[in-house]
Amino acid sequence: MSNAWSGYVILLVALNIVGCAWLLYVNRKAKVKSGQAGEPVGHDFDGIQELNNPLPAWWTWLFIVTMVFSMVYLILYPGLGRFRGALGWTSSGQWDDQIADANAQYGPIYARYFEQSIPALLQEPKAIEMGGRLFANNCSPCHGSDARGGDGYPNLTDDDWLYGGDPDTIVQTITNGRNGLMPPLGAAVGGEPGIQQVAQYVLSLSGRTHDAKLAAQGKVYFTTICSACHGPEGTGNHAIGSPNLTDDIWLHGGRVTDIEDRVRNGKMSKMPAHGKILSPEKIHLLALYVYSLSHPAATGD
Amino acid sequence: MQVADERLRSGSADERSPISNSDEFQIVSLYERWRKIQYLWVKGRFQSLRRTALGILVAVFYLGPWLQWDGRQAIWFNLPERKFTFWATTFWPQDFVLLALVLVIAAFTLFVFTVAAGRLWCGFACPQTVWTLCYVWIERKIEGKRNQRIKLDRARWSFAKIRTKGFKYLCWAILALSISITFVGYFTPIDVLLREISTLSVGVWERFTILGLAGASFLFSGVLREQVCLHMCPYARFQSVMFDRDTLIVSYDTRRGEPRGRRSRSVDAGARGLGACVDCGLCVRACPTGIDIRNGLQYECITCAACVDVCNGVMNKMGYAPNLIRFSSENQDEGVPRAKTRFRLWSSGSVLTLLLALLAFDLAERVPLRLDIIRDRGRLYRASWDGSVENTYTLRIMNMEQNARTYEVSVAGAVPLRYSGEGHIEVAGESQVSLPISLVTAPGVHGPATSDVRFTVRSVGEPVYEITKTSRFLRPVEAAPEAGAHEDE
Repeated sequence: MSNAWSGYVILLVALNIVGCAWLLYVNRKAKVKSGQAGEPVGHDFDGIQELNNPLPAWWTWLFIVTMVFSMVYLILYPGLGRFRGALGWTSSGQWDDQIADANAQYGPIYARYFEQSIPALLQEPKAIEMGGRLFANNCSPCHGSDARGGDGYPNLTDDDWLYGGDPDTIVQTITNGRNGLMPPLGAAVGGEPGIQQVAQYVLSLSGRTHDAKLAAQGKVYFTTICSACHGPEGTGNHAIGSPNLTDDIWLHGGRVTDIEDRVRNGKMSKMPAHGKILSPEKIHLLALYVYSLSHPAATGD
Repeated sequence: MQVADERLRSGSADERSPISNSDEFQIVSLYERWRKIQYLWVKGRFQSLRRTALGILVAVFYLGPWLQWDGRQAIWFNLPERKFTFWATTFWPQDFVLLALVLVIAAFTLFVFTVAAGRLWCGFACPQTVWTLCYVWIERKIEGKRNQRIKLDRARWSFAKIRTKGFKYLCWAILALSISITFVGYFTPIDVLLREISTLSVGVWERFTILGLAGASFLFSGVLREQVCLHMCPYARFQSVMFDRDTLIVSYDTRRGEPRGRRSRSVDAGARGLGACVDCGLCVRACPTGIDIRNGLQYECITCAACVDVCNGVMNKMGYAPNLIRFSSENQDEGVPRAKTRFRLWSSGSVLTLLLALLAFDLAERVPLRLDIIRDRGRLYRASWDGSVENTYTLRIMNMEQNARTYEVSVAGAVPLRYSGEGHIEVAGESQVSLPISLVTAPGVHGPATSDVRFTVRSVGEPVYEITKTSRFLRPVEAAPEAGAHEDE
């Protein structure tokens, strides 16, 4: 706000208060023909007359109190143009205070759980419940409120892991995020026939019905190209997040056409990093919740 | 209703001295100074009734928070958790429609009551009246009778006056605090609240409410008194539209009373041409709003009947028949028989009856169980390669009862669905659980892209409550041959 606008606002506010006081002052008396109460005072608005029925004098004081209040308020709080008010109140400052209050209230609870290891916390239903609420707020839009994922978003309940399912790795994944990359290999396997052959071989890895002849040809491509990441057995590699192809779990769809498309066009997927959004204590509880989903036996009585 | 504004017409003009006088015009203040009305403490039939009503109402108010039920406060408006407990029943914000109904019923009760009995509420049961009587009682105990109080008010400030007034204000403050602490005790359990007060650890909202309400009670019922009825109360202002000519009012029997005049007991009033009114002025001095009831029905009158009682005392001493001032109606005053059909009374009365029946029905049919179904927003469905389709829902089951209940969840839909998840769930009393569940069609089952699916939650054991909600089951659109082919043409 420029100085001119600020001055304009201050002027308007001041005029308003002075105007109210003036209005009150000039209307405290009336010129009447007869001093009797209940007689018209001569104010006529579309045939509606004002009668001389005096108000209690303390009503005037209520007016004056509101004017004094407004002036005190304008001194203490922002309202007069660029003047910030004597208390220095800001809405963001109020938010910071509330966050500080919340941290003071909940901080000790988080700190207590943060000290314990995730497997040990499986015995703490309260901690898992807190993690569940964090999950609902932060993770469920992609992974689903039942954490069973969907197309492109891993199922977190099945103990099948792209990058490993030990507590430390889960914390790593949440904190730093993950970037999944399957390169397009359509050209490398020699175009459409090769793509079909590789897809049939991938189907055979998890024991699904497949064309054995095509699969045998596809195996050649697989051992020379795909096995670099997925391993010679097709069991994947946690270090680089390449999926296990032998377990009949399909992150990007399990139809033959889906598998062919992955080989042809590749796939990039991303788990965003949450280290800057969530505190380590919260990530600890989130990892606990995710860990508890595939270790339900330990959470039992 | 004829409202004779006599107090303003006669009483106040001379007190507000005109500021300047000319032949034609004069300037008057549009505000009048407030005079404190010191009134008599009257004894009599109606005042006993008033004080009995006061005793009962105050006792109910003070004892309310101390009632216990099942190990906790029986009447407890738990605002932070939005739970409103009346003995074995807990009400929730979801029951808001009941509250709305209760408020409508309260409004109509007031309406019917006003048509029939005028301002009996104002004079006998209104909290403002009841608490004002308490404050006046304290004032009378400390400052003495009306004459002594007026003398004290007029006296110059002295140590004795400051001591007397100070002691009165101290007692008022204690009364005001007891009222506000009891009131807050309906919201924060009273034993907890008193413990917090004794250790000076009262929460900020409680502190604010206790002090604010005590201040308001002190100010409104202690200091301002009739000013609240005259200048603040909205009910007082719109009552005149509810009155009819048979509404109960307090009135002075003009035909019997006039011409008024002082006389001794031995004088034969008839021979002197005098009416029954001895013009003692006690009715004016007894009036808490400072009016003269002999001037007719006035908007200030709260029908407290103090003038009735005090006048009957005088009539008794004079050996005259009682009820020169009495409960009456405009028709009765004029000797007109009661109206045969009182439209306002029976119309509002029948609406009130209907509303009461509706409330009774709603309470009897109330299902203390809520079910919300939240379809997963992240994705419409999960389609597996084998052709099975899965939808995910979160069931939010809320047990509004005080005891834990077990619920049975069942699902019915147009397409055969397999339900994976808990079939039974226990929900603690007054709490809710979120139950994520998935519905799956078997591979190869076909169906429309969208179909209804009904979730039913039913309590196990008595009493049985059941609630059914409908959501949608979505699946990929199956390629229909020729579909859309003609749309482009």
